[in-house]
Amino acid sequence: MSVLLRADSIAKRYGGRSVLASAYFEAAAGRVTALVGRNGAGKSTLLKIAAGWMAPDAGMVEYRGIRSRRPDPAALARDGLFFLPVDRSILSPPFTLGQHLDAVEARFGRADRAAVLTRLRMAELERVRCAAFSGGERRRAQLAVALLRRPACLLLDEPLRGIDPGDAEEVHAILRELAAGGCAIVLTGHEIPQVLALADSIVWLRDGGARMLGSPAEAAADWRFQKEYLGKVR
Amino acid sequence: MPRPTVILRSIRLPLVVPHFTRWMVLRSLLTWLFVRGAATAGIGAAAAAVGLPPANPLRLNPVAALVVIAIVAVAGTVWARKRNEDTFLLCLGHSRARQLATLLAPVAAAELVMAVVL
Repeated sequence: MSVLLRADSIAKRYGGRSVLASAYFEAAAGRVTALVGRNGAGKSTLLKIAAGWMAPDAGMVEYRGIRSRRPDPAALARDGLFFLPVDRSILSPPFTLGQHLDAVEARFGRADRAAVLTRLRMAELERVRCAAFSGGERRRAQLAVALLRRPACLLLDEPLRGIDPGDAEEVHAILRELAAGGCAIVLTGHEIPQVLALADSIVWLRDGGARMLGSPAEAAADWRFQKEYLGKVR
Repeated sequence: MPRPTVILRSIRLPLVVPHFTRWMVLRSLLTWLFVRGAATAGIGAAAAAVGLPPANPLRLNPVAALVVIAIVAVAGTVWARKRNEDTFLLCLGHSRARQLATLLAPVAAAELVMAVVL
C-alpha cells in the first residue's frame, strides 16, 4: 500500500475560531478514505489544504514524497491530483460540457470519453451549456471531467450530495472501479450508509483532530463514533 | 529544416486550452479598449479644462499605462472567478500566475505597440 498524499498535523483557524488543531489523514493508492464529522468539523478545510487551495496555519502536506507547507495547487494538478470542491463549481456556465472535456483532452491526452459520458448518463448533455444543468447533473458533469483526467489521486468534497439514489449507486461503482485501477480517493460526506459502503478506511474529524477509525466495520462498532456522530444510544 | 506550419504549431500561448484562452484574451482586449477609451477621453477633457496646449491624448505616460493594465487585470480576474474559469483552469494545472499572464500578455503587447507607434 503506497501512500500518495498525506496531510500531517494540520491546524487552521478562521478568525478566532480553531477548526483544525492537529488533523491527519493519508490517501493510499487503490484505497478509498472517507473523512466524516459534524458540520464545521473541518472536512472541507482539510481537503482544500491537502489540495493546496488553502494555506494551513501549521502542519505539512506531502504528495508523492514531496513535503511542503502549502503545495502549489497547479503543480499538484499537473502531477495527477484532482480536487472537486463542494462550494465552487469547476464548470464554467457559458461553456458546454463538451468544451470542458475538450480542454481536459487537449491538456492531458485523449481518453475514453464516450464511455465516461455514457456511464454518467451525460452523453445527451454534452452539447448543453453548463448553466442549464440541474444540481445533480452538475455534480455528474464535474465527475465526468475528473474521470476524463484519469487522476492518480482524487479528492471529492461531498460527492454524493444532491444526487438521486440511482446516480449515487453509479457514482459508488465508478469510484470503486477507479480505486481498483490504483487511484487514491479521499471523500467527505454525511450520507453515512453510502460512505461506509464505499470507503476502505474512515477518518473521524472531531475537536480539531482526526481519529483513524479503521475499516467501516470497525468505525460502525466504535461506541464513541456511534454516540457522538451517528446519534445512536446504546 | 522544419516546415513553417510545424514551427507555427510549436509556438504556444501561455495557456493552450481551447475556447477558454480565446475568450480570456478577447475579454481582456475589450476591457482594455474600454478603459483606454475612457482614459483618453478623460485626459483630453482634463487638458482642455485647465487650458493646457493640445497633446496627443492617446499617448499615456508609463504610470498611466500601468494603471490601465492593472484595471484590466482586476476586471479579468473578477470575471474569470465569476465564471469559474479560474477553478477549472487550476484543476487542469494552470497556475493563477499563468492565468494572469494569459490575461495581460495581449494588453501589455497592445500598450507597447501604442507607446512605440505614438
